[in-house]
Amino acid sequence: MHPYHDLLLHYGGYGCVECGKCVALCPMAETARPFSRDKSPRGLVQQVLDAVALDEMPALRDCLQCRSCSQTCPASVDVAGLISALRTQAGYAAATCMVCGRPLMPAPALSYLHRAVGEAYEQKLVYPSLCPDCKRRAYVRNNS
Amino acid sequence: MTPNTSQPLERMRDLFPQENAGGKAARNGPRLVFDPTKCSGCALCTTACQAGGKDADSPRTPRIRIFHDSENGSHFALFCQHCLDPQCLRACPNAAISRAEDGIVRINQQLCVHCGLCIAACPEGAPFRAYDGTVVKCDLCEGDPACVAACPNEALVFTRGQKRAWISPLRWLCQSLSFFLLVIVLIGSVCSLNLATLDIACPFGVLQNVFSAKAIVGSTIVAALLLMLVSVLFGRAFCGWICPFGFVLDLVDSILPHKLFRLPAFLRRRINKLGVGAGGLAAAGLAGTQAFCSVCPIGTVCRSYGLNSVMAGAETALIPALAALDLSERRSWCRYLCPVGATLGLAAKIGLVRIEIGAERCKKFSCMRCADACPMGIIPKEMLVQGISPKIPMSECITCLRCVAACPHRAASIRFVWQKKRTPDGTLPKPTEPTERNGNGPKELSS
Repeated sequence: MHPYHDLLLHYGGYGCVECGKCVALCPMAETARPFSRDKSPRGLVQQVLDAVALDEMPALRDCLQCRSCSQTCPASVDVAGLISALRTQAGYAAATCMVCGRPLMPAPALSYLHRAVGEAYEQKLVYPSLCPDCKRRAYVRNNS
Repeated sequence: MTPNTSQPLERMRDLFPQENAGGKAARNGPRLVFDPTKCSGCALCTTACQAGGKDADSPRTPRIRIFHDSENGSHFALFCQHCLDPQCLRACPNAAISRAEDGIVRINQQLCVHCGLCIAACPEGAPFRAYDGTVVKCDLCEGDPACVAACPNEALVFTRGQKRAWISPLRWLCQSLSFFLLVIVLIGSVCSLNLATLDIACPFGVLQNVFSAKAIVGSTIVAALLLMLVSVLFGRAFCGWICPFGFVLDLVDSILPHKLFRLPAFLRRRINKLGVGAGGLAAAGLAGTQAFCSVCPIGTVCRSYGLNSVMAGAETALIPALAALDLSERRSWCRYLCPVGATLGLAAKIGLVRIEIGAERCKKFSCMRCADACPMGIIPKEMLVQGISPKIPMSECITCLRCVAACPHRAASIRFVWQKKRTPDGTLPKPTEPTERNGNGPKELSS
């Protein structure tokens, strides 16, 4: 029996035709360099089909859940939903807002963000670690 | 391995070469300026934006939102500032965001995958997630914003800003006049100047005098007090507007490039000024003469006029040597080493004048012109980029008013101590203690 049979059936993973349209859209190509087959949505579906262990799927940590792969898939594979369900299985928790503690984004994506916006500054910036609401609240408090 | 985020991504540039070429965008882009003192919180701007401008057929997600602060009863509008150096553009993994030649920052919906990283990258979270999951942001209605037309209190203004262009010529005129007077007409004279009834002396020179002669001469103290009084009234205006060596450094800064190299860390400490001052005083006390004055670059500049002085003085070589420090940072001598400036800074610290960046019109992170203009480097970009009005240390500020001149929205301004602050001192949000509710996420970032 395939260990991920239920998930594959539910999210249509058996239908993957390896066309690669999801790979062309996936923002992990920038946020999770070096990009590789294993980190792409297509690679992840193939890994799940190959019954790889959960902690050997790097895309689980890096995925931003933008859902563009699910929207573009011609075979109607809901890759984002599959990743979400696998994350729940793996017990993977996102980085949280440092003030209110609500889930923010995957930790690798947060460190990408700190690199991308903070490279021009000597000190580490705080606001990328805040959720949009806490950030707006802090901005309003400091400027009104 | 760090991604090269400073330029648009190559693979996207192939697709949309003209959009993401990065080229020259308008330096003074159009933007909205919001005045919280005029806002009544009616949110008609949000409604107008939701209606989709003039010729929309269905409501859309508003691109401007009003926040209400119940503590002090104020209101605040959040909207895209159309930054000169947009953080969202740096963060976007698909290069869907571009700043066009007209200065408007737009999201290209063909490239956007709605990952939301721009919302996280913006210091005020100005791109909003729409109800259908897409990410939208203000595009200034292509030059005719509906929110500005809808605002009944004129709290929102659509502007390109205007600089105060007259400050800079005035300062250069003042500096060159005083250089001409102090160096060429009254030779060797900043240090102690005897006009008919008026004695002016360098305060640090007088301090050295006190230490070397081990006696206090009343007349020299009074002469030194004049410059200190000027510093109390106007800050270190002597450094920015009069000092002949400062004029030389400003000339060097405007001609030669800087940031060519970095000074070692032990030099880049502003407390060094006081160290040099203490060393100078100790040397004066030991040697019994004003030892520092013979190597003081300000005095050296004053004594350098005339063929004799240039030929005779090996000390004249100090001028290019110290000016060379400016290839790394502007006014390095004044920032880190000058004991005269340190002495004046003590007076300026208790002075009547403050420079305030971030009155209600400041655009903070979107602009940075004041930080770029400041020759002393005391306007921290880290604070501006996080939306916080920085506190300007007046003991370091030379009151050259470059920031005031550079700000197109009149947000950098002079404030006298008795005037009310227009913006509260900003603070960064502190991380809260992990609780059962928020303690399950990773506390430290991996890799």
